[in-house]
Amino acid sequence: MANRILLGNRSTGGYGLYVSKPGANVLTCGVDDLIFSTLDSTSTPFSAAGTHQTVPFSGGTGTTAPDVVNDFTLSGSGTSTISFEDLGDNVFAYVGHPQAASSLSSDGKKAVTFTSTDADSTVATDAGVGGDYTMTIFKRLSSAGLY
Amino acid sequence: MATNRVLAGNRSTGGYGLYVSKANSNVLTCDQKDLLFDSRESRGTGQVYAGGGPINITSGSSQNFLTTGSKDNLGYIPLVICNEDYAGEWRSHYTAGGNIAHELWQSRVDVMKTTSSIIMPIYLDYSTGTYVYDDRRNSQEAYFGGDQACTNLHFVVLKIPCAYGYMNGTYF
Repeated sequence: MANRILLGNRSTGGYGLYVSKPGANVLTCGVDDLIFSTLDSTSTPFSAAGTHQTVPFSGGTGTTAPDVVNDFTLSGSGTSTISFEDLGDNVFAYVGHPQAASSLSSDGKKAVTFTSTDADSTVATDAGVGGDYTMTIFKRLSSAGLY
Repeated sequence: MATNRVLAGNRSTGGYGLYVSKANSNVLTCDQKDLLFDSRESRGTGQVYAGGGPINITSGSSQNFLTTGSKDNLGYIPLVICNEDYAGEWRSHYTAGGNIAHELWQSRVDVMKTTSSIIMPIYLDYSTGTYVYDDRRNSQEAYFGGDQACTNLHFVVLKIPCAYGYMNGTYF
């Protein structure tokens, strides 16, 4: 059976917590065979910047499940301030819209832009003719332009 | 009482490994769906390999997401989640060629090409037989998706294979 978990000094990467894929020896495997590592974006070799996180709009405490999806409607050029839970700065909004049976009926576009995004809210502005949208909030892990 | 959240050892369901549960879920007994991390799973689910934003990508350009840190090419095309201004659908129609009505519709104008190292805005054009262009629509190409530059792009690159031929046990 392969060594899968190492809490200590890895020959490549140094001290940290490492977990390898099934069948891969955590002591010697390539970085791409690590499914978890405390290596960060400044380490050599690079493994991962962190864990992808979704920010809930509500819930996530006690026995209340987190609600990570928000449905909203905007009129053409309309705006709406949308609040979510504060899990820290560096978030971005991701939006889509259902392909309804009655889609655009005339020239135009159906889209949303987000501005003034901070730790617990963003402003959604319709960039087209209005419509129904679904959004979620993701953590960015860093404020850097590239990380 | 605090809940057991981390287990490095023998779990009744799963055996030896490293497990981390969600808040308020007992790592010793909870369902697998309530585990944030489970070393039995071979995939690097949820690990962010790269990201960035807000950035603008000019027409005909791309963004290399391996340029920061000491990132190696993953050896596969990863799943990249992108959001930018003007994510949405677009429709237009015009009359040409002897009053022949043409209608154009695109379900998303923010189409992105992804390779194992770059993301690049593209647009779709049925008219030439090429279909996919490494470019983002500009005013000259407005017939084919509207005037939608790629602006305020945010993206995260996940360590999840997302390409034909790569979504198998070799890469997960």
